[in-house]
Amino acid sequence: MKKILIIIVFLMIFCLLNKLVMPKYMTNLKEGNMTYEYYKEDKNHEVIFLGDCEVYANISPLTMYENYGITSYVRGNSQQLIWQSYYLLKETLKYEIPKVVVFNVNSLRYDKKVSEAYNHLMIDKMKWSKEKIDLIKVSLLENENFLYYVFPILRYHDRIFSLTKEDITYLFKEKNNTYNGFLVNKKVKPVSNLPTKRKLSTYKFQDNVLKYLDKIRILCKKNNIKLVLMKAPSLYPYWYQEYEKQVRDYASKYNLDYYNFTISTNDIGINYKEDTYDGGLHLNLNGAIKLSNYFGKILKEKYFLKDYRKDDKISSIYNLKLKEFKKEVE
Amino acid sequence: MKKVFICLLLGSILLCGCKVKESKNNLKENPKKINDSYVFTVQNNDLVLGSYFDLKKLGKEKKYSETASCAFEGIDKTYTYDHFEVTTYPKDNKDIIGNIYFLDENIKTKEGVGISDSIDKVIATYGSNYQQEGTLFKYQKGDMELKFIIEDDLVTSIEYALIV
Repeated sequence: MKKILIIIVFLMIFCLLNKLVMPKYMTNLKEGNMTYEYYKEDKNHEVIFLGDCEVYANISPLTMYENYGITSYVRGNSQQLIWQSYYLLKETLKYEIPKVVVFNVNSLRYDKKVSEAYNHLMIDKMKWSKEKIDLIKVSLLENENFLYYVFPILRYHDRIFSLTKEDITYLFKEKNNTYNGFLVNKKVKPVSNLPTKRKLSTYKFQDNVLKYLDKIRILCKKNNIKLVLMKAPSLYPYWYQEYEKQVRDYASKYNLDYYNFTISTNDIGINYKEDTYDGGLHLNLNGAIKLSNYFGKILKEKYFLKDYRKDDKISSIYNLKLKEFKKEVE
Repeated sequence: MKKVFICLLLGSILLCGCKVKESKNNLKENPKKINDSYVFTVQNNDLVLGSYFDLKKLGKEKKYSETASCAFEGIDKTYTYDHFEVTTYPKDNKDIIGNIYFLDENIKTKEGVGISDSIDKVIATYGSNYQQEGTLFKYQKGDMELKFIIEDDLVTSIEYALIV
């Protein structure tokens, strides 16, 4: 009995230490909480947006709801690579089957694992599932170990000496940082100069990337989901013509709709002097609202989405969300 | 049993106390040792990737731009001069040289290779110990690469880059 008690106490201390040293992603690096916030949602979304920072910074689901009654969620993370998008979509489909999945094509340019830090932002707070295990396996960099994701203390043990107030405040509680996956940024930093457009050794999307694009397409098809491709407005990193042609060819080959918003900024009304928070890489709140209004209309009309403002149950949930959203943005 | 418990507890605490392994985004010590790297020399100044960038050495840039990362603090800075571009990234409140990119034929590597030179000249200068990926020829020294894009046997792009 004593032995069991000792083991239980040890396990409790071990679990507590793991929880304590794990970054909380509440007030600093809020992007690390995005994957987790989805689990707290009512799973009733007709549209799921999938991709990297170009979706969570640029698409405001609550704007789409307010103006068109669309229910949607952004499952996007910083530097979310296409294989990560695939597993996140697979996980999403365990909870709900949306009518439309919109995949932002920016990540097609990246065929290599980029950063351990970005891996952790996306994966740390993902619920354990087969998808998470597969996702970790495909995301691991050479210097990483699978166990780092199982036992955060192995990765973050140094944090024990640099714990912050946030680590204590949010040890046992959570808060949402996004609105249906949209991370609000109200700063304005106009476009000034951009680095020179560089010559690349190849502009061809790599086989590994296209393999996962196929997987996403097939997964959607199997579940009777309309897959739509989009390229969010951005001035940098450059979206080369060679990229554009490959996406158009792919969309045409598989009869997918593709919207490149980098070339329709005038129609959307985006002004890069005031609608970006980082000099043209991402839209700020104003820019995101403009894009969401513009794209929401297309989604609503083209894919015959239901107006959930007329649905008592859904509208009561969304009206609360809208109230919070308005409070923050106004 | 008490001993086992104390050992386990101490183990956990020691685990916490272990020195963290440097993330790949963290740089090693600065300044870099020159013999570990290719060096780009301009206006009698040696620029070494991975070392601090002394802006004063090169005079006023023609153009300056900033790009932020998606989530992390700090910005990459790109200084464009007449014939080349230097991109830095932040570490410990200093700017570290992460990339040097040639803009035209009027600049050469320290070893004398420039845009429009032949592939033969590249190999004669840097040897045949390169990695080729399509049109990209990469020479590695320490944690940096000297990259040439070669099309129709001619150099069309030159870049010094840290391996990430």
